Amino acid sequence: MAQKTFKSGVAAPELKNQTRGDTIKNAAVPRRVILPLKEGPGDPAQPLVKKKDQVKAGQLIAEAQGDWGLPVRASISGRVEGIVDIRTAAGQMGQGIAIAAEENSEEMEKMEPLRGEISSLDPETICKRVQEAGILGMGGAGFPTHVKLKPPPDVKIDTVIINGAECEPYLTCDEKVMESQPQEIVSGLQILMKALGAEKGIVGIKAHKKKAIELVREAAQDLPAIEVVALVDKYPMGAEKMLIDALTGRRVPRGGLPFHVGVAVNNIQTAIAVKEAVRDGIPLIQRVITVTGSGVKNPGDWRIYIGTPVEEVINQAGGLKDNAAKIVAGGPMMGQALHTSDVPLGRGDTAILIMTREEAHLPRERACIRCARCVDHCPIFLNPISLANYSEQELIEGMERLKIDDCIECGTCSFICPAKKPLVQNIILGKGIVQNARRSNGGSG
Amino acid sequence: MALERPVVTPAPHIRDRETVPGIMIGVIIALVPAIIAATLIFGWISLVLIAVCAAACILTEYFWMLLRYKEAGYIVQDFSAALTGVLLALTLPPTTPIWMAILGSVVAITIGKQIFGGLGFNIFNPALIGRGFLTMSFPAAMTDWVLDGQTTATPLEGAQASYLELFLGNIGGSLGETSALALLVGAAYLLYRQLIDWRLPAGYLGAVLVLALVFGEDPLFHLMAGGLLLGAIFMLTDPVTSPLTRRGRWVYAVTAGILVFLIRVWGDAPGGVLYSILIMNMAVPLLDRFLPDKVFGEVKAK
Repeated sequence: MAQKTFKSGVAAPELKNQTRGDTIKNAAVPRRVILPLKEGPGDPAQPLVKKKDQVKAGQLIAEAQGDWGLPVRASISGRVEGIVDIRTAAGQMGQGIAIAAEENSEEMEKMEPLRGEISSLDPETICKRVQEAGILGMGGAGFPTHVKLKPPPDVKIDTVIINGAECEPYLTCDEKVMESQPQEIVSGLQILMKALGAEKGIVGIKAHKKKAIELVREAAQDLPAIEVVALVDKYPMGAEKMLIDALTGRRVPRGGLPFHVGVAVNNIQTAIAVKEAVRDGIPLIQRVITVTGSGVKNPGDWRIYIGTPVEEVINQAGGLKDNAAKIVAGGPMMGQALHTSDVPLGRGDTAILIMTREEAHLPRERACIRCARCVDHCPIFLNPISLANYSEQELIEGMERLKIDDCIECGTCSFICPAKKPLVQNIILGKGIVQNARRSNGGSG
Repeated sequence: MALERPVVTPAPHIRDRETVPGIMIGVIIALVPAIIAATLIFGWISLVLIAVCAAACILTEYFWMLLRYKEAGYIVQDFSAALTGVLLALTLPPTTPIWMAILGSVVAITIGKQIFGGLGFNIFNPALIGRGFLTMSFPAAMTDWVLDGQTTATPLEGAQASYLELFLGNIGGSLGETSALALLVGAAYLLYRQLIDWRLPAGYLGAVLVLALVFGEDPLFHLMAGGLLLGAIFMLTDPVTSPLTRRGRWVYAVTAGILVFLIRVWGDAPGGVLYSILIMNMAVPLLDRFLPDKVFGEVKAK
């Protein structure tokens, strides 16, 4: 099977066996959900409900604000407890609507499905529906999907890519979704292509997901415009720029976005959410996440209700083992370690990874031997060790010269470093230092 | 049940298995064929010299670490001093007196490494500093070649040697430089474990090969004679003293290759490999600064 790839990157350990081969489990309705008013870069939504209001699953409870804003829809039926200050698992501070579950919460308020052939749908209507359903990028970056569907007028999108790389170690949720809903993915892709007027659709899937490739290929076999491509097993294949390079050979210019090369990239579960919103009228109130790691009793992939607290998800997976020490929201390469499990999961959260004390133990640093592994593996061809050194010394000119803004924060440099230097960590700090300096200089950058 | 005091650190939360000591030990393993070849060709004295140099380097490093740090033991365990000792020994003639080997080791670690701040901060290859010091201080002893109990010369000094002899290494020379076969086996291991960048030996040997062809010299002879292979595979590739950027590495390796050819063909003194590498070591900070790699998605400025 021919496999496509980008230059450099790293063969990270997959660590996916804990949850592979199993099916997706449906999580029970949680006792309580907290739905963040703000997810992604848009403005926070404006609440439409108040304390003690009765709400139904799927009901619009906060209105989208601004072009990039997303509405909030209740993920379970119940009673509004109030509007509370929260920090999401992804680390965003803000407010959220807390809903206590009440009995009989199985039924859902749906939107009117858009009927007819996909080719007959109006792009503007699709785009509007995607926003109404509250859909944002479900692969982790959390960019509002309807914004991706409205590129600037002078831009021509010819290719829509569905990102089935799932390159973070441990994660298997997208793989299982591909195995269980291949037809929905293909329909979602067709709808996205229609919305953008794109002629070509590509589903990129890492080669080790053999069954997923086979099933999605089968689902798309009568559609000449859609291609399912196997990708080399390496990290960070799922990074937008890397994936576009691997699949189309086009390189997004520095500081640019995928639409600059005529491409739009969407995650596997985003495609399904789009299909469900458009064809079934189902808003985005559930998603599949991986709950895994050596520190949890029953690892698996769960279809959860958006807004479920991390702690409740862990309990559904059998709870923590005695030696659990670290809870990561997301994958091990880019995920955030949580200081508490009392945080809600949002639409963009892909996984809960629970590591044991031994796994959480950080290896001791040694002197850098300039081995250049970080340079040779950086997918953006930056010079991570020099950037990290400049960051430690707060040398702004040096960081700008070495193009610190281009770093995608994938963590490959820190992962590969034999001296166990905190490279990406220092580069992220350095980015902040550079941005602060620009701001105080009147924003020359 | 919630965690009382969860561990909170920034991503990434997993690390590769490779470590600094692992890399150093890997390079020492890659030198085993050369060590065996030296023992077969020059006798047990080879092993004695290698052990003496390694021990002297480790003790010197430990001494300086005691003065500078509280945890000298942890730092010495990185095996970098041991590797310097083995490399230095392999550049010495089999007739080197033990005291001279010890002196070279002390200089290699002290002047070559510790005065710059220790591992990772040295500008010059420490083993070559040790060897260079001995070459200049004891020129006669450092060119006293013996093979099978008889005084001889090296092929570069005019001794007759067939390609096969050059390849296997039963010729006069320093302990570790004579057997091309042993060095190439080591190189294969280094490349397999990705412990060296192929660009460095390729640029260095490639430059010598091309120049030899252009100037009518015997290219195969130049590649296998003297310390060229030892230098190309184990000295030029020292990560600490070679450039970080890919473009820098090409220029570094090719220029060093040009230098070694110039010194060999038109120079008067032996030690072309030694000087070519030490000279280019000096250029590394400049190469890193002025030859950055092109970043992803970089387009020509309008």
